[in-house]
Amino acid sequence: MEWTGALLLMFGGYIILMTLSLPVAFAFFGINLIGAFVFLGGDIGLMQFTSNTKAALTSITLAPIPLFLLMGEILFHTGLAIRAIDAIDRLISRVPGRLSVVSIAGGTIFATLSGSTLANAAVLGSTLMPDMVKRGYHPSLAMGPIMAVGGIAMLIPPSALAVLLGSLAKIPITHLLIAGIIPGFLMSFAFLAYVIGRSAINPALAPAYDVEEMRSWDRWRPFLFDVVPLLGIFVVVVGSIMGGLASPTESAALGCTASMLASFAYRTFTWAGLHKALVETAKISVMIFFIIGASITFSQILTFSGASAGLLNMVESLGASPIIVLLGMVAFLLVLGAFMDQISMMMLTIPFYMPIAASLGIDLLWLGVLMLIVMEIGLITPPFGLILYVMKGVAPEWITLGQVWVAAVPFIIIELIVLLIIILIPAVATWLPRLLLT
Amino acid sequence: MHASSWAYLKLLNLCGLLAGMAYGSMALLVTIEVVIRNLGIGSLLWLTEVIEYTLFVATFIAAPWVLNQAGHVRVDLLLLALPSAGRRNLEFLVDSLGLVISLFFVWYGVRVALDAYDTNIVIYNQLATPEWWLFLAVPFAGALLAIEFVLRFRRTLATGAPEIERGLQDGF
Repeated sequence: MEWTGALLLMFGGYIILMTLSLPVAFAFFGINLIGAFVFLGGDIGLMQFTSNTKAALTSITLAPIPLFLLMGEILFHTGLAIRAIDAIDRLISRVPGRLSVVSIAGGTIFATLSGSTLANAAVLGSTLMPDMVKRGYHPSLAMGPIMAVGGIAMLIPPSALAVLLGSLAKIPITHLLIAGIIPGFLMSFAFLAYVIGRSAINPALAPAYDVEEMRSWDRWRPFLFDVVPLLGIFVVVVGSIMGGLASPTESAALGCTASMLASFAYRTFTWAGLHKALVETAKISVMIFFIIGASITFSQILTFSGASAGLLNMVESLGASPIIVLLGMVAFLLVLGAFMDQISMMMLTIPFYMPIAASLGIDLLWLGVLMLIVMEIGLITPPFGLILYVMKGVAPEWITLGQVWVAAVPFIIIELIVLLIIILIPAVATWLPRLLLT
Repeated sequence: MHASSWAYLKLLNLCGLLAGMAYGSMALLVTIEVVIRNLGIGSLLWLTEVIEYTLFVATFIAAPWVLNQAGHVRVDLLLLALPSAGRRNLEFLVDSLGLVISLFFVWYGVRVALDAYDTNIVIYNQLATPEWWLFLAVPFAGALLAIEFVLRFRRTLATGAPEIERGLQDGF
């Protein structure tokens, strides 16, 4: 079979199975069964496929994923995350679009503690959304920041997605985690500037209200006691990686232990909370890993059938400059992001992107950060971005999906601008890891 | 509830809890390892290996439970767009495809495990682990997944076009 036929079979087959609403993992396994039979030699190919699932998953590089997720779940289910957000709520007083600002600041802080984007959006959506609606915030300023800031968790370590990308794309995980820090904070500041600016120009979007008067010590005390110590967890996790003291797995484990100790120290630990955190971690991790079980066979089929080499040759024969190819890759991911989940996006593109980037001399770390941002954009891109539906789920009944989509648009534009900045100035992402780790 | 379905649900939930406890234990053991290594007391040399096996086994053991919890992410827009009769037919198709894929796991899982048993493949590292032990997780998962797809099929048959279960809170 021509390589284009193989490509069409694997990609087209996957898209058809996915569109039929087969769970993503089963869509990958289904198309792999067909691909393994056709390209890897019939029965022996299917045997190979089965043993490949073990090879794909018995990898220590994947271990930080459940651990980073567990860390966020512990903080969430012991109530420490909500306590931290309350403290920030108290700290921020008179500023246009106050509650939107609280959601961005709180979301960024939670991002430094949690490896999960959706947990982030769910925490903020359930804590701040009802208050914003009650106070007459326009849906776009109420929902937009919560959805957008959810994605920052993917950039700022601990980030389970960065670990997965690094592991699948063979980009050093430590570098990738640290490379997300500056872009993550940059995005957070851009969101703040937008929200404050827009509320200042049109106060009706976010009606001002009197915040309870309190002494400055009462304002600062919860921040000092409920937020600053939690930032110690961030220091443990990121500091131990940056200082070369711990591998990503070790730092993630230390983060879980630190979160548990914090829940003891604040006397918020309950067995029920721990049980919930463990079970939720298992649900998300197993869902992710079950898809990853198909990853080795999927790329093996693309290699054996000549699809990877064929596409690589085609790209090389175009003679396009690396930056044009990079823009093409980013654009393709943006389109995929509007229709599918992040793991599928990685599974479909990494087998091609990494060899193409390597052959054109594109910095893989830079590409990795760009991919993380594009996947973050995908999460809030209509029609199918996952966070849009999480938001619809936690928003009051009268809010339509259309309103949720509209609320996301300004933040998508901001994220695209940050993406462009990093394309133009790669050092925004690559400077910090290179400074610290080489 | 029928005793067998009660036991089946208990088994699934136990699998999910086991996976969660496995991840929790990983966090604890790695922390202990870091501490004792830095104190110069010793080192848990076998830990990396055990974690790697755990990642694989826990995934397969708990995958049927995740399916039962509607936790496997899926794109359900076509499902949402269809009228109820079409939705019902599509659910039948999805469950049938899922069943076929699960049965492949049972068949090939058993064969790969038997193969490893016959050729006596042992992974020697810090521990000596017969490879077929690990592969047993595959047919185990396949069998439970197959049961789960059959149950979904029956549920769709009994209730007509079912409410769409959303697993949207699940993801990163």
